[in-house]
Amino acid sequence: MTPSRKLRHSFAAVYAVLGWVALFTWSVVTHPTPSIPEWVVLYTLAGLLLFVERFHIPVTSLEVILSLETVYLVAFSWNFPIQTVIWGGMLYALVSSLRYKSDWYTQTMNSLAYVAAAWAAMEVAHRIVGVHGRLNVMNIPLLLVYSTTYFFVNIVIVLIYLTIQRSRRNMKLFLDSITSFRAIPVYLVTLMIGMLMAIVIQNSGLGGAILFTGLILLVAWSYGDYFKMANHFKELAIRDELTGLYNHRHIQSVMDEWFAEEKPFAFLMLDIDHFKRYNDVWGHVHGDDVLRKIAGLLQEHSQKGELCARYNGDEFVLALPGSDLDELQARAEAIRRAVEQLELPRVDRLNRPPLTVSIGIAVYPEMADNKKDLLMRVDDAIYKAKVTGNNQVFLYESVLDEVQEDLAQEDPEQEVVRTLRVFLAILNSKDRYTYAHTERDVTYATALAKKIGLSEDRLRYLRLGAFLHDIGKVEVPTEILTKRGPLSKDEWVVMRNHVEMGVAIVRPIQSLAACLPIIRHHHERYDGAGYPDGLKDQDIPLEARILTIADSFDAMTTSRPYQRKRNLDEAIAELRQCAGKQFDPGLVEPFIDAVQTIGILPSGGQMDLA
Amino acid sequence: MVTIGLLLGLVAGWLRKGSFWSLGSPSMRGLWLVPVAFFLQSLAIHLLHGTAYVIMLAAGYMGMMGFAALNLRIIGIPWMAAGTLANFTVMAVNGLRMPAYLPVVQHYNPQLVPLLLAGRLGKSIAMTSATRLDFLGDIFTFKMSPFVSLFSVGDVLIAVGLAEVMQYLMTRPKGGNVSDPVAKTAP
Repeated sequence: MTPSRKLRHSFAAVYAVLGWVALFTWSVVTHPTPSIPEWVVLYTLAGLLLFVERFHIPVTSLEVILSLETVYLVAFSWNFPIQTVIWGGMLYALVSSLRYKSDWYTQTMNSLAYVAAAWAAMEVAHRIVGVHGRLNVMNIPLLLVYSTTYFFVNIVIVLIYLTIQRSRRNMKLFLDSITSFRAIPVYLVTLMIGMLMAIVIQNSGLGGAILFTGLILLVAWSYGDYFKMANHFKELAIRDELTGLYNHRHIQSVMDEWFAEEKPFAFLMLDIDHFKRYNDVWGHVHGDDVLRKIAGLLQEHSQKGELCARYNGDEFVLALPGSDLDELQARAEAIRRAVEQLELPRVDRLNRPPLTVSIGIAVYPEMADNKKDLLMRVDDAIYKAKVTGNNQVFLYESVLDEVQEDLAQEDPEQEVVRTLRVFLAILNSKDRYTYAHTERDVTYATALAKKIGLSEDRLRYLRLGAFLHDIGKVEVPTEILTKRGPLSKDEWVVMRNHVEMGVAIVRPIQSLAACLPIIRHHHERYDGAGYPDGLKDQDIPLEARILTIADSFDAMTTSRPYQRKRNLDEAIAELRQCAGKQFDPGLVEPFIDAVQTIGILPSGGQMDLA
Repeated sequence: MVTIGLLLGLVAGWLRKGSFWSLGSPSMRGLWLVPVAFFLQSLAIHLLHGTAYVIMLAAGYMGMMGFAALNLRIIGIPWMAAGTLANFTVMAVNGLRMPAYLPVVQHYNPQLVPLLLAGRLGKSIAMTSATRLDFLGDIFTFKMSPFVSLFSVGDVLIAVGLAEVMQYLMTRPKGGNVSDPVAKTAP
């Protein structure tokens, strides 16, 4: 606690105490010694207030609490001298403040607000009726004046207190609660109950108040139960039973809220690596243990205002406001390490590698402007973490975004990019390998183009062309695209057709005309044995020759169902061997230079997405 | 009043799913002080006069307060202690006699008034301008025909405390181990 805050709280405490002193002084001056019957009244009032302070009647549907103190103060002030009510209120304040220990002044303040409001309201009522005039509960205009005064004095006293305390949060909560229309009917009902009790006291004295309290207790009791039940069901609806974290439904609705408020936030998704295997080997009972442990760990690593949820079977989510990428990565890394070091006796026993998680991160609004995109981005990031060997943290990034920025500088017509995105999304969903491979191709091709000094203008189209070169695969059936064995003759025909399909897809987009030759000719060979046109040597466009090398190099250095992955040296040897046959010999050496600088880009090993 | 407190405590304890059997092992310190104190008080009120009365009654109150002090940590005991202290204080300043509010007695039990005025109604005396701290005296009445009870705010506190103690004893967890259910909370 900073000194200034402490000081503010002391001021607030002094304010509450001074308020009581003033009220009490007034009552002693106007009515020095209460008679014995008045003592009985004030004891009873204090006792009842102390008793009902422990009970609330929550009005669940309105999220408002009916305060019973008001009921008693209204009923007593209407029937007995207000000085007696003040004495009783003060006795109540003294005793109940003790229960709040170091927070005592909060309760001193609360009771002051109630009692002073009752006092002010009564003074106003007496001014109207005359000091000795009999107060009739059924005098509706008087009742309205009384209730309005009570309401406003109560609010003003609390407002002054909150201003002194300068707690912005409390102030906001309070203002929200009094300005919401929901509070008004509840306040009116409270007053009505108070009036009813006043009538009971008028007719049968304090015994009536005690009987009435029984009724109130019954209501408070049953509503308390109802409230608990409602809360229980609410919890059931938003929590995951196994881990106790929030569930898929809740995180979705919170995300909707955050998007609606345009609140920047980050979305971390954890996926347990090889969890299916763990379940298969050790059984689901132990699998559930793991889920619980990881959930607990995630909670330990989350802070106030952040949300942990179990998204799906073995996927967890941490959603947090703000989007500082460095900090996010550091925190995700800490979580990843903590999971790695998690003690899971069964895993260690077999000298197996520890259980690990892959974490993907995407942030709003930088990486996506709607929920669906954000989820796809984070999914992409996880996928990359998975295919590049698990147990890693990946921030979402895409070459397409860079290309988009490139395009946006000159071409405000973002329609193009949007169209491309749709195609790429389709391709991505059909065959994730092709998509990731495309991204690497762009990087390799760009490196080579820069090495040989390709002009900026042509570079841009090369990048776009590289991006789109396999777009024709959208039309190739998934069975052929992802087939593990060698392709049949007919299947090859379909497969080879993707270059022409790609051209057909991109042709309608005027601004991409320059990319067409790249798409059409990226499978031509320098010796003329390629497809679709069998072009030779320099007849093949330069950009297509660049892409052929990049494309083949990536194919060599990633594992495919039909071939083994080569390391850098092996790949370089193969490039040299094929120079003049498959590749333009003039481009091979510059490419080798370039690729030695950037190295082999990370790609999937044995793809296992369990 | 004490009886009412006892009954209320039992009912509340039962409603809160407590067990009457738990009352068998109250595990409070110096429990023997309670019957002894009651005995001394009854002895003083019914049989003794003068200095013997003063000493016995004071000893009885001391015993009660000693018991309360030993068990102050138990819920309800502080209320009982405060009640006993209040009663003792008002009696101490009035020659160890409890002032009773005359109009109430007159209204509910007129035949007791002469006894009260003569100072022969147990430990009670009539409340007059000479008695002090009247607001701590016997000013409450509880009437359930034919039974009428006159009591002080201290008695109310003792009853409330007793009710709390009873229901605490009935509902307290067994074996002294409070097993906390695993909290499933959001951060």
